[in-house]
Amino acid sequence: MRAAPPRAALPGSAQWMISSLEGRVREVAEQVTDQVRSGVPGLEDPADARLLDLVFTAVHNAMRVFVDEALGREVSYLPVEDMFRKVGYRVALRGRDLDTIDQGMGIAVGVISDELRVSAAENELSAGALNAINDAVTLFVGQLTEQIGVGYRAGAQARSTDTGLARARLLAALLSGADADEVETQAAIAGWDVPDQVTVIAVETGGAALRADALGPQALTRTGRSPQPVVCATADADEVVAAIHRAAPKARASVCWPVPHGDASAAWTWATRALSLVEARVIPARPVVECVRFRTEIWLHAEPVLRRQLAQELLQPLFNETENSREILSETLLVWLETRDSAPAIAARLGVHPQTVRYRWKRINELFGDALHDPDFVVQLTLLLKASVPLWIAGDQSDFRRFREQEETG
Amino acid sequence: MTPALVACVLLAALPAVFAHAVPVARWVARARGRAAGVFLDDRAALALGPRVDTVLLDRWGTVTTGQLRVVAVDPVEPDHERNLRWFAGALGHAADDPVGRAIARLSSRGKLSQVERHGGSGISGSVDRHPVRLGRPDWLGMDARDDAGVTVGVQVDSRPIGYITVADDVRPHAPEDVARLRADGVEPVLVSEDTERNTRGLAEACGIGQWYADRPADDRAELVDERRRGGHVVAVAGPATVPEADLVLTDADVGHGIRLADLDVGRVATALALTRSAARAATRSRRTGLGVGVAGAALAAAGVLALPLAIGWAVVGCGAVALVAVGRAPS
Repeated sequence: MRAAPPRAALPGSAQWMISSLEGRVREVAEQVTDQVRSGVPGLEDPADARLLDLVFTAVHNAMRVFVDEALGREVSYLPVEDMFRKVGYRVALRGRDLDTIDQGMGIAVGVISDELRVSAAENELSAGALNAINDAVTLFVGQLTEQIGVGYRAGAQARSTDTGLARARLLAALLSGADADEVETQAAIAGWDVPDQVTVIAVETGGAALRADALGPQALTRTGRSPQPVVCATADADEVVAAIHRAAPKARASVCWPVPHGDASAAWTWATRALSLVEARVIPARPVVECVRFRTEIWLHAEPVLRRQLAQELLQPLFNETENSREILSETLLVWLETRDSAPAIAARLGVHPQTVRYRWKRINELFGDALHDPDFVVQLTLLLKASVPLWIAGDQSDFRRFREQEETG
Repeated sequence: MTPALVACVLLAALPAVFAHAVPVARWVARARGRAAGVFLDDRAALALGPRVDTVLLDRWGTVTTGQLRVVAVDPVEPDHERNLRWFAGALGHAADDPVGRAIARLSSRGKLSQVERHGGSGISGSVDRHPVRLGRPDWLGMDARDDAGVTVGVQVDSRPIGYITVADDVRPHAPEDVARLRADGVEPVLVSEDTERNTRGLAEACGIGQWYADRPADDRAELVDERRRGGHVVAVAGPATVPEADLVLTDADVGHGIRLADLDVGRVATALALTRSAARAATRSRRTGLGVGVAGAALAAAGVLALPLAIGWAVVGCGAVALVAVGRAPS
């Protein structure tokens, strides 16, 4: 926590008056914001709504800190200063000049001073006490104005930065789940209109990285990361996927279903997981992996450790079987859990004789007993098998090995 | 004697020549045999048939249908009966022995893979990806059984699920046909490579009083010799030919002996009966021809039969000889 700047202690009457204003901090902050919106030219634009929200939050927090400090409470300046730097940064990104900030600060100080005067009159505060309050306010405002300047200069520098870097930052913001402000800010710098629905693609290039210019301006991407992320508007997805394969014919692209840009981070997780599942042979290896077709697998493999532990717990009867027996019994059990069909129907699906299915069902009942009548167990078992059986079929025997190790260690 | 008289005498004696020169009885026997699935093309066999007094009946095809049949399905748990039939039957389709073929009739074909035959022990394979073994109980580590017939154990997923017993499929009319042989003076003797117990059971079921058990198929010559040394004329009925036998009855075209449509003991009895009836009919027709011929010649020589009458005598006499040769078919 940063130490408070040296400031003259307020007389007791001033502190008393300020404490009487404590309950009105929010109301005054709203007045300031309204006055700034109406007083500063150009801020009526709907695109500035978020900026004004930020202004309100910054003013409200600043007034809260001022009151707390005046009343001798312990305070931290860092959040407030950070917020005022953001205000300056945002103003610069939107291409406004410093006059806008000066006008806004002037309006804010004016509104607050008026409030203090009225309150001082109502409370018959002495001129000395009012002057002490005004001095403290002036000092605090100066300090915040300085932070706004710092933010403004950073914003102005960002605007002049290379757009490739800016697009990379926007991509990073989208994929890291940054808040809407941050995304909007980075989008403004990059000059990329963020669409309502985006498509996130994870690309295993199988060689050299994809160059951004190969995908066209509608796609965001960055090299140096494997798999390589690509984000584009959903309307452009087909074109971008085609461009990916033109640029890297051996590439495998995991294309997530359309999501709001706020969910791009989750979509990136799903797309990369789909690639991992291709690697594990749970999902068929194709040049374009359409994640929408494998949503269940992507979902079920979201918690590998949980799956593993549940498998050790629930599938113990199967682990005592041979590899072949375990595979065919679990496959049959899964089909039954999914379809609840008759033996001939299940047999047709599995490509075996109906009596084989009846035999397997008898064995399954011997292994699991009454547990198969427990709805909770059945639900867990269904999900578990859905996630595990493809792994086993693909040759992953780690569940079985782990079980054996646990058995041996007692 | 005038030439006319000589001609009359020769014409009147024609039935005797006809009876000796034309084998009507053999033709009739062959025709009747063909209708009954018995092919009497070998004149030597036709001549030997009536002398046969012992017939060695091979187990396969004579008193049995030539196949085994399942007589018992014993699962280790009652619930496993259908599983036992299914898995054993499916694997049985890959077997090349009578036991396997009998078990195969328990079920349809399944998805079979990794089939291995283990000599006389059994067979193993994968049915719908389940490892299945079918064979001697001791080979499978299962308790031995003391059932009549042949009992095999069945294992699925390395777990025993039951036993299947197969036995000879006895022809339904075998006892009657065996009795018919015996009534014709032919002693049936059963020959089998099966155990003493199973062979005795089969012989008793068919009413056969003599049998040889534990005799492999290439052992028939020795048995024939043994019987012949006892003064018997021995026929052998079976799928393979035995050169040492007096008469061979087989379902294969070996160029000699009597060929049968199948080895059914009823057909064996019919074949031997046909040879006997043919021999009897031939004897009767020769005697009839001789009598009619001699009488006719005498009458012609005495001048009783003029030329037209001599011709009529010859036609009627030959007809009578033919009728006697045709005779009645054996029952």
